[in-house]
Amino acid sequence: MPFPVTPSPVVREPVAATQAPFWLRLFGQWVHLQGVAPGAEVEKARASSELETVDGITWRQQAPRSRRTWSLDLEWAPPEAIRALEVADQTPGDVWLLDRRESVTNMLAPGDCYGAGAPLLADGMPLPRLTSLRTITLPVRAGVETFVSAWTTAGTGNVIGVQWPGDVGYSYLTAPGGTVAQRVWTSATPIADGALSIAALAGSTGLQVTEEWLPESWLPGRRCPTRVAVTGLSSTGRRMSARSQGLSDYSVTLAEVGA
Amino acid sequence: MSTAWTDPDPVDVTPDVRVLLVGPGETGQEVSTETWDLTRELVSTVLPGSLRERSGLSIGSGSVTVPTDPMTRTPWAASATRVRPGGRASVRAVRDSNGWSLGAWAVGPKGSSLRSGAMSVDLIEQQWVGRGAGRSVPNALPGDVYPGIEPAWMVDTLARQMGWWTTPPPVQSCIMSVPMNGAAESETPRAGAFALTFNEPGWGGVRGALGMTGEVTTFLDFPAARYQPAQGQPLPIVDPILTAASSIFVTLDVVNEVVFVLSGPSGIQGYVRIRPAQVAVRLAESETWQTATVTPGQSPLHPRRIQVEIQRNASGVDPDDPNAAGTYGPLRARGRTSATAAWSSWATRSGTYSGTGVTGAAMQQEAATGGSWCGLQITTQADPALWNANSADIDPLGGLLISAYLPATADPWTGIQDVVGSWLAAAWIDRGGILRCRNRTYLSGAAPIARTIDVGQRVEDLPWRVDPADLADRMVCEYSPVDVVQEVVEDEQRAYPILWESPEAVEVGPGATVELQIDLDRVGYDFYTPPVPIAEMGWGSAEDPAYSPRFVSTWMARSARDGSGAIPSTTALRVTAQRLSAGRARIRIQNTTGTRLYTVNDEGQPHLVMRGYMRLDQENTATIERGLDPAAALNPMTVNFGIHVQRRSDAEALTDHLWNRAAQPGYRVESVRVVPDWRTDIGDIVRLTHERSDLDVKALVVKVAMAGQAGQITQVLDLVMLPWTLTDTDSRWSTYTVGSLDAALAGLTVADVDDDPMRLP
Repeated sequence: MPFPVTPSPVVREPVAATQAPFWLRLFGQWVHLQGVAPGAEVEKARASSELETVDGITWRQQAPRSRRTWSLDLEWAPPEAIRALEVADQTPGDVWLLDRRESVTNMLAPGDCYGAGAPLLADGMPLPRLTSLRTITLPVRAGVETFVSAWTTAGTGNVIGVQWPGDVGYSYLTAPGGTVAQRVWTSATPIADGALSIAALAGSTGLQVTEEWLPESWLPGRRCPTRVAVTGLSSTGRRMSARSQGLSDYSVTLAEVGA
Repeated sequence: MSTAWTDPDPVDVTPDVRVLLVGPGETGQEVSTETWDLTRELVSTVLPGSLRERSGLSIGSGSVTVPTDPMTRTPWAASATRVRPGGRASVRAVRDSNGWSLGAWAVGPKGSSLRSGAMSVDLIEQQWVGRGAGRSVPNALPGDVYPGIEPAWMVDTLARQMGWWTTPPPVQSCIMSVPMNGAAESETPRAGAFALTFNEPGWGGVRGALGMTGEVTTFLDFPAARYQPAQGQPLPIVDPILTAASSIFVTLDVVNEVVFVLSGPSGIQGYVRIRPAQVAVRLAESETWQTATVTPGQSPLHPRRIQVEIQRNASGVDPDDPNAAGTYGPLRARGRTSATAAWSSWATRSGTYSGTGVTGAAMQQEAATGGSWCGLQITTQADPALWNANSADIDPLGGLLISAYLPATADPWTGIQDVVGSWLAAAWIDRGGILRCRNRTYLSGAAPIARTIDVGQRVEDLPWRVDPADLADRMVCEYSPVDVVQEVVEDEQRAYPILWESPEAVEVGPGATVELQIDLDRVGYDFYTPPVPIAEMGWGSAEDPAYSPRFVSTWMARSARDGSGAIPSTTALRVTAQRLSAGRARIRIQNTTGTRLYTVNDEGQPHLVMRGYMRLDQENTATIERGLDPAAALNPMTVNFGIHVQRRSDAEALTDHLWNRAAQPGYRVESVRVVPDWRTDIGDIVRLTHERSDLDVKALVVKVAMAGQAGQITQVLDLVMLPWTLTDTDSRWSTYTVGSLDAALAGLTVADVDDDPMRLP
C-alpha cells in the first residue's frame, strides 16, 4: 500500500470523555476539563512547627490556612481534553479551578462560614455566630443555579443580603421567626459570570454557598473556585498512527495559589 | 484559635507578618513576607564581655523576604517600578485584623534575581543610618558652679536633636522652653535660664524629664529681653511682654507646688502659684493668695501637667517704651490639666497698680513643700501640641557632671551611647519607637518585673554556663577627674587660660573673609559664655596697647608668611568667634586692608589665640581599685568609665556596682528558645521560675531574636541573670512580723541565708 502523499481529512476519534467534575477558568471563561480519570487526589498541606518545653509540654504553631494540591490523571486523553491545561501551563496568571465536589459542598472559604461568638446548634453542629457584619464576595458561574444559606436564631428581619451578578439583582434572607436556630436559604441562576456578594449580619452563622442543590446540612467551606498554578504536565504516549490523532496518558498537578 | 498576642494557645495560628517598604520617592504598599527575622540586642560598650552585665548601646537588625515580580521590579526598570537603594520599612504582624507593631526600620541592601520570585531586604535600626554630626552638646553652664549637670541632660539634649522628646518640643508660639531634664538650661532660646540653689539640690523630682529637687530658684530671661549680637558685640534689647490685654500660657509638669514669678525692668510684677489642683495669684509677698481650683490629672498621658493662662490688663502703656511702664491690673490666672478640659475659674487679684512689662520670670520651689517642675514652656497660644505623647523616657543616670563635653564630630546617637555606657546605663529604641534610657539601677533589676516565665511550660531548654573568666578577683576602674583652670601664670603674670591656639598660619587676602571651624578638645568658657553663647565675641590685636593680651583672645598679622614685612594696624583684621557647641567654635577673620596678611608673629609663628575665663581639663585618669593586690590577683578586670564620669564619689558608686557583680560567682543563660510572647522587648525584667529544678531568678532580657515563616515563629532570648536587690528583699519580707520572722528563721544557719536570702520560708 503506497504511502499517501497528502494527508487524509482529519479523523475524529470517538472518545468517551468522562463527565469529570472539574472546570478551569481561562481568560475569564469556564472550560470543562474532560477526561479526568477517577481517583483524582487532593492533598492538603499546612505549614506548622512544634516546640516541646522543659517539662514536655508541646506548643504547636500552624499557618492560618492550608494549601491544596490536585493530582489529576487523564488516560487516553485526546488533545482537546488537555488543551486547556496546556494553555494554563503556558500562560499562568488568572487561572481558576472549580472542583464540583467542593462546589456542591460549600464554596466559601473555611473561615468565612462562621464567626467567633456564642455558638448555635445547626442541626447538631455547634457553630460560633458572627460578631459583626461580614461581607463576602465569591465568583459564581452563569447558568448554574446557586444556593445561599445560613443559620440564625433571629426572630425577625433580614439576616443576610445577597447581590447576584448580572440582572438577577438582590435577595434577602429573612428570619423565619421563632427563637430556635433555623436555616434560611435562597437561590438564583446568574445570567452572567461574576461576583456574588453576601452581607451577613452579626448573629448569623453557618454560611453556605453551593451550586445546583442545597445539601441537607451545613458543610464546611472549601474555598472554591480556587486560583491555581498548573504544573508538572507530563504525558505518556499511548497510540500514534499516521492517519489519526495521537492519544496519551497525561498527569498534571494543580496547586492552590494566591489569597 | 488564638487571637491574643500575649497568651498563645497550645495550637497557635501564626500571624501574617507584613512589611511596608517605602523606597525613596515611593508611597509603598504593604506586602506579606515569606520569611522574616528581627533581632534587637543590648550590647556592652564600656564593660568587658565577661562581666555579667549589659549596658550601652542597642543594635537592631533583621531581614525580610517578600514576593516580587522579578521581571519588572529591577534596578533597571522604568522609573515607576525601579528598585532604588535605601528607604524605610515598617513591619507588623497581623492576625484577625489586629496588628502588632514590630518596629520601624531603615532599609539596607536589597537583592533578588531574575529566576527568583522573592526579594530579600536587610533592615537596620533607623537611628544607625543618616547620622550627621548635629549641634551636639551645647556649652552648658559649668557643673561645679551651678547645681550640677545630671548626665541624663546630655542624653536628653542629644535625643532632642534626633527627634525624641521627653517633654514637648518647642511649639510655634513658644517664648521659652526649659525642659529641666538634668540641667537648668533653656532649650529655646539657647541659654537664658540659670538656677540658684539653696538647699539640698538634686535631680529626679519628676519622672520622664527630671526636674530639680530642693530649694531652687530658676531665673528665666525671655528672649525678647536678652542680648542680641550686634556688630560683634552683644547688646541688650528689651521688648517686654504682657503689655496689652493678651495672655501667656505656662505649661509644665509640676510636683506639689511651684511659684511662677513675673519680673520686669522695675522688679517683680506678680506671683502665680501653681499646684496640681490649684492656681493662685498675688502681687506681693505680703498679700494673701487669690485662688482657683483646678481639676488635676485629666490628661492620661501627662498626669502631672498643668497649663496656666496668665493675663494682666494694661492701660496707658507705650508699646515702644522698653519698660512699658503704665497702669496694669487686675492680674489673673486660670488652669486646666488637659488640652481639651474646661478652664478653671479665674484666680484674680483685683484692682489696678503701676507696673512695667514682663521681661523674665523665675520659678521658685521650696524644699519644705517638696516642689519640683519640668517640661516648662511659656507660649502665647494654648497649642494642643503641648499635650502630645512623649517619645523619650530617660532615667536619671545617678551622678553629676562637671564638664559636659562631646567632640563636635560625634553624631547624636553615638554621643548618647557614649554617655550611657560610661554610666553603666543603656539606651535603646523600643518596639514602639520610644527612646528608653535606663540607668544601672533599673538594669540591675530594681524595677517592676514585666512578667514571670514558667520555664517548665514556656521554655524549650535552659542552657547555662559557668566560666571562671566571668569572675574577677581584682577590679580597677578608671575615671576622668576635671581640672578647673580659671587663671594661669604666663611669664610670671596672671592670665586667662587658652582655649584654642591656631596650629598654622591663616592667609587672608586683601578685603577677604576667612572662616575657620575649630574643634575644641575640652570644655572652655568664653568671656560671654554663659550667658550669651550665640553672640560673636570680638578679638583684639596682640599688639594693641589698649588690650591686655593675656586676658582676651588675640591675633597677630604680618604681610609675609615668614613674619617679615610691615606691621599692620591694630584694626587690620576683624576677628570674631562664635561658640557652636561644647566641642566646636567658628572663627571669622576679615581683612580690612588692601594687603594680603598672614596670622603670624614676627618670627613667623602662627598667632591666633582664643582665651576664656575657664577651661575644664580632663588630662589625668584616676583609678579606683577593689579586690586583691595586683600580685595576688589571677583574674584582674579593668574598666574605663571614660570622660563622662568625673567625680570620685560617682566613680566609687559605679565601681561598687560592678564589683558586686564581678566578685560573685554567677552563670550565663543565652539563646533560650521560648514560646513566643510578642510583648517581650529588650530591657524587660522578667522572672524565671521552674519548680522541678527549684529555679527562681530575675533576669534582664538583653537580646530578642524573632524569626518566622508560614506556620513557624521562633523567639530566642539572651538573658542576664540579676542578683536579688534590696527592693526584692524588702517586698519579700514586708509581710513578716517580728514574731513570725522568728518562727520562720528557726533552725536555719547562716549558710542557708547566704545561699539565697529569697528562698527562705
